[in-house]
Amino acid sequence: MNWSDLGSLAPIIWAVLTAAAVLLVDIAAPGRRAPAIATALMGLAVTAAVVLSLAGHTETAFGGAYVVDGLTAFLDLLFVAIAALTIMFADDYLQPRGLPIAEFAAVLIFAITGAMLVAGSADLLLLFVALELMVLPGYLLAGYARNDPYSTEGAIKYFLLGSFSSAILLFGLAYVWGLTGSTRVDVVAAALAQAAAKGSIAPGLAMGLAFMTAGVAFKMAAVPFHYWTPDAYQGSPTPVTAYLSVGPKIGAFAVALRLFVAALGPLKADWLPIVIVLAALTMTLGNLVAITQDNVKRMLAYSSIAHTGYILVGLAAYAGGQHSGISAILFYGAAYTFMNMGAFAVITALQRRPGVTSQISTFAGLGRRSPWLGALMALFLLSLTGIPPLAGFWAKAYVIVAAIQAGGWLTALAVLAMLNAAAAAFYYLRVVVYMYMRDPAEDAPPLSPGLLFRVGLAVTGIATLVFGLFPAILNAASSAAGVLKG
Amino acid sequence: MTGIWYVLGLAAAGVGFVFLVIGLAWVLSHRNRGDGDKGLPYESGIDTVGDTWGRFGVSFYIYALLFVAFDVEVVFLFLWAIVFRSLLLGGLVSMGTFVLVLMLGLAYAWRKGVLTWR
Repeated sequence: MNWSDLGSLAPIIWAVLTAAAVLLVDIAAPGRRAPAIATALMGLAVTAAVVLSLAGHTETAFGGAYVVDGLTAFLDLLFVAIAALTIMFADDYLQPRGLPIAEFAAVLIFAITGAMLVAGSADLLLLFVALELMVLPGYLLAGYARNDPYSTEGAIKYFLLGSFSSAILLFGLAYVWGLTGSTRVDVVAAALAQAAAKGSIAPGLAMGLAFMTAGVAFKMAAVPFHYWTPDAYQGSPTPVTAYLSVGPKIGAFAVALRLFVAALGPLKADWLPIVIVLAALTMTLGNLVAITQDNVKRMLAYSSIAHTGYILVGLAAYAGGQHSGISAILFYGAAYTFMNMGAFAVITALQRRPGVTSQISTFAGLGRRSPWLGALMALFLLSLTGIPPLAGFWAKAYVIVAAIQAGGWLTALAVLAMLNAAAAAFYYLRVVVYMYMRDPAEDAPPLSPGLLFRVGLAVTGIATLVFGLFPAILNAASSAAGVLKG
Repeated sequence: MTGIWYVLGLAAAGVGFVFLVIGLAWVLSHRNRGDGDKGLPYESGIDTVGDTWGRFGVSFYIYALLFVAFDVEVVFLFLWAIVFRSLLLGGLVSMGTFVLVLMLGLAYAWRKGVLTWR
């Protein structure tokens, strides 16, 4: 190790220091909410600034195990934004229920640290350890309302299936390590390129590929590895669901980019069919089941499964020879983050009073009860549907265009994605119908979210609009970040 | 086809490892069998009841957690102490930071009242 390696690692060090500072503040002023939130947000702001100061460089650290490039910077910024937004939304939900915010913020920032480490991993072992650092705090957060049986149930399911899938992924990595003799991503890629040039791949590699695909598909909640998702999402406290639906999912795609694209890139002809099948199953099943849901949180859980499918189309497009698939994945990840977190934020605002369910009937007349919340929810839902000119439209457009350019079976996949987007309109717009065409319940109290919450909601709303009206801004960033060799 | 044997071999090794570790732990933890007096508490304490592989109260987990944290810390401290001279000041600063972060965890647990028996 060189001392200069610490410079490349600076964003992660800052994130860890932020989490530690939040805990220290909580020791100094136990139970005080404002100091903990302020420390967390200021620390995250510094972390973002440090990431930006490193952006544009490409450097490796720790003997090539960790790499700072455009992809790392893009994902790091996204993860920091996810953490900051979650903290802004969380207190409105946690405070009325008597749940502490300091632990929440600290655990969340530790999780984000893991995700940032995933984004820069160039070594299979580091990748695995970073992935675990990302998901372990997630189990904790899912069970954060520990006196709520649903929260506990969701957390246990998430934990059991999550650790199971980690073991499966690790077993797959063991095969690859055994056959290539290295855990370094570039060495693995070089060895696999040689193996692939000889024609058919060894049975051990095929086995490893199967295990790794299953492990990563669990983490990103792709069908048929999605069973934990609805229960974990519905049971978790709503701000946690907001985090779980974007943080670990984009983290799993970061794993896919570092593992499948960078390390297993030479084998892409072998994993392309698997990804096509996964993508087709994931979007179709996610959307079909979402249609039948009456609970909005559960509906958004299935919708997040469907969105995993759309993002997988981008991965398939890359494997089909269209390099723009990677920047399409990144664009989708960023757009999805803002619109989905915004939608969950509106549910959080509705559930501020303990005991309010996330049933669709809760949304009745929201447009009249609170015009701003109703309008923003409609904006997020339309964006999730993929209506122009909102961010969600461009996200789908880039993915689908990349797939069509790749041609072959991917054209069929692109058509399937478009059909799915049309089917998804049904269940997203059903909520809009409830908000504007039903009368609110007689006893519905006025909604008054906190100031920080409003700021967060404004950020997600503006991002959804601006990235929709001027997609070139985000596209420039995702294209610069998507030049991943492999 | 050496490839097939590689797949089977690694799968067998993976399954075998699980049984090996649990089996070894069982063998080691049961080696007092036949000499019951060895298992009795020394001078004072409550007589042991049942097997150590039974269930424990969940309130013990926090001690297990803290124990593991500090146990692992000692592993690192030991290696560091051996090469202490050649690491110069950098080594002292690194290890100081490491221990400080761990102590922060302990201080936090203490302040939160985790160490008080309930």
